[in-house]
Amino acid sequence: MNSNNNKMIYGALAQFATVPEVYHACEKVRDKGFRKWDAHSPFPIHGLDKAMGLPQSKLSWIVGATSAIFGIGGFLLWVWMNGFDYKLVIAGKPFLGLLGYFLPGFECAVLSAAIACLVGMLALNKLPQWYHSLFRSEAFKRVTDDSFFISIEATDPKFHPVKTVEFLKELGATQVELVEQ
Amino acid sequence: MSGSHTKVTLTQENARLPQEHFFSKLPLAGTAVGLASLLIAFMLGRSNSSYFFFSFHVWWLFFLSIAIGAVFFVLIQFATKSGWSVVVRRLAENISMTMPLFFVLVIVMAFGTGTLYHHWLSHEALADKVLQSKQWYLNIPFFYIRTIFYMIMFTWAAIYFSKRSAKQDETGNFEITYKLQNASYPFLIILGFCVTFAAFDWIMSLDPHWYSTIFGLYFFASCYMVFFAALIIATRIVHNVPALKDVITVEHYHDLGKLLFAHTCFWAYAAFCQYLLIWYGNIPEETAWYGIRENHGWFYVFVLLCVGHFIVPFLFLMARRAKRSRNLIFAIAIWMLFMHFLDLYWLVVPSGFEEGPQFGLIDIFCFLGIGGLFVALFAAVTRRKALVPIKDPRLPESMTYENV
Repeated sequence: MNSNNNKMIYGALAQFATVPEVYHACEKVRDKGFRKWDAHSPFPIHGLDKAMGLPQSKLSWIVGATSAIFGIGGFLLWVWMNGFDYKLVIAGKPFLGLLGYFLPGFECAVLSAAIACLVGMLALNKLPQWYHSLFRSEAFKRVTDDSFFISIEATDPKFHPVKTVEFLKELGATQVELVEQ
Repeated sequence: MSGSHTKVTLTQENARLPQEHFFSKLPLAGTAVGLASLLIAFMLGRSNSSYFFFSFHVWWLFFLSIAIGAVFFVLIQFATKSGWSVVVRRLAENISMTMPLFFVLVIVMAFGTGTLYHHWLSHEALADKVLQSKQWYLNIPFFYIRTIFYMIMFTWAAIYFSKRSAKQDETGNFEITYKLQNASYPFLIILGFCVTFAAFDWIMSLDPHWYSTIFGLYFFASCYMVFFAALIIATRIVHNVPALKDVITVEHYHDLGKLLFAHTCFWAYAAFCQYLLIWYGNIPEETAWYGIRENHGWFYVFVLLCVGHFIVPFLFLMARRAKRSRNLIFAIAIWMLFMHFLDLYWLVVPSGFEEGPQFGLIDIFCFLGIGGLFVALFAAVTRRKALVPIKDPRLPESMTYENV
């Protein structure tokens, strides 16, 4: 095959029958040094992230930074409003009754953390995504039911349309196919 | 699934503390140090008996709160049918088995009742209108009936669960697990009330004018928090027993660290709620309590508590790496023990000594005295049993457990 054809291929898709098979296959794909690949399963498999060699998620940093900024922001918002912009006497407290401002600060931190967690998770997963090339595969429909898959993208520098398919077959895949873009 | 865990078969023999382990010497050494230190503290206290009783009360509460936290932990593990915690549950049971010690030490407190609770026992108190209306609750006989009731309930729960759990080591009978699960629910409800009213009686009534309905929660939060610190330390110490090397993993430290983190936040939450409402309400009999604890020398303790009991562990334990490092988590656990002492000291002592903290030799000897006996009893119980509930039905789950 020439490189022109390569561009039309999304990647190779291998089907596995059981959890241990796909788990150990992941370990071997990881050790082979592939970068752009993924495993697909109808349910979470414990320890699969290690078998795939996935790094720790960046989500916690996104959530932590967002909630710190909004927490301090919420606190300062009250400092400015009640302390400088629109001074109100509330229950005889001083205009800069800082202790009470921890509450809006805390609430802003919690709310922004929750939103950052949801939005950040969707963004890191590239969701929402209405179409994916793997949907072309007839076999892939069983991924939400009872089958396990590994897909290796053609854009991976180590990808080879023949060798990669053979490699996946050696790993114990029941079926390997090349999926078009 | 990772398959990295080697299968270890735990038996009565290899899951025990080896004879040469330094823990085996602790029962004798701890008792000796404990009794000698208590004697010295008594002698020192003869010239300053008022401070002696306050210091003794603080350290009694300190070690008692670890034991109370342990009782709750064991019960909650059964109530929630937890799998992850089985490998550390035996250590928690052993900590809870120190409960009888505090029952005995109530006797010392009996001599100090007049000193500690002079605010509602003195002659001036009898003329006080507010205290007169509280007398149906705050009187010596009822106070002791309640104290003994709490102690019986906590001791009963500790013995009930430890004994049956140890029996399972021999028989392997799954029925015991079901039985303890069913027993945990009523126990938890009763002990929940016990810890709340115990906090009211032992600490809040030191200043009988002051009241805070969240105080029971505050005390429970610090009990549970300090228990996790103690459990991390105990786990770290017994971890060098060869058979446990692959049984207790970094995952368990991670979980204990998460719970320690959660409960330092829980403590801060309760403490801040209490402070904010009193600040906001601004009622004299409520603010007076903080008035003492925010002024004079107590101000520094107050600031140190805010920073050291919340901000430092909050930032430190947020990092995943800190929770997964045996040495870092051990270090912060010791720090939290110290902070918990400071918390209790700040709650108890100002009601007798408004002018500021006066740490001294009496504190050190009271710590060595009660701490020595506490460690001696813990080591004696630990030595007698396997370090892990070897036939618990959820042990395999706990051994292969992993954080996602």
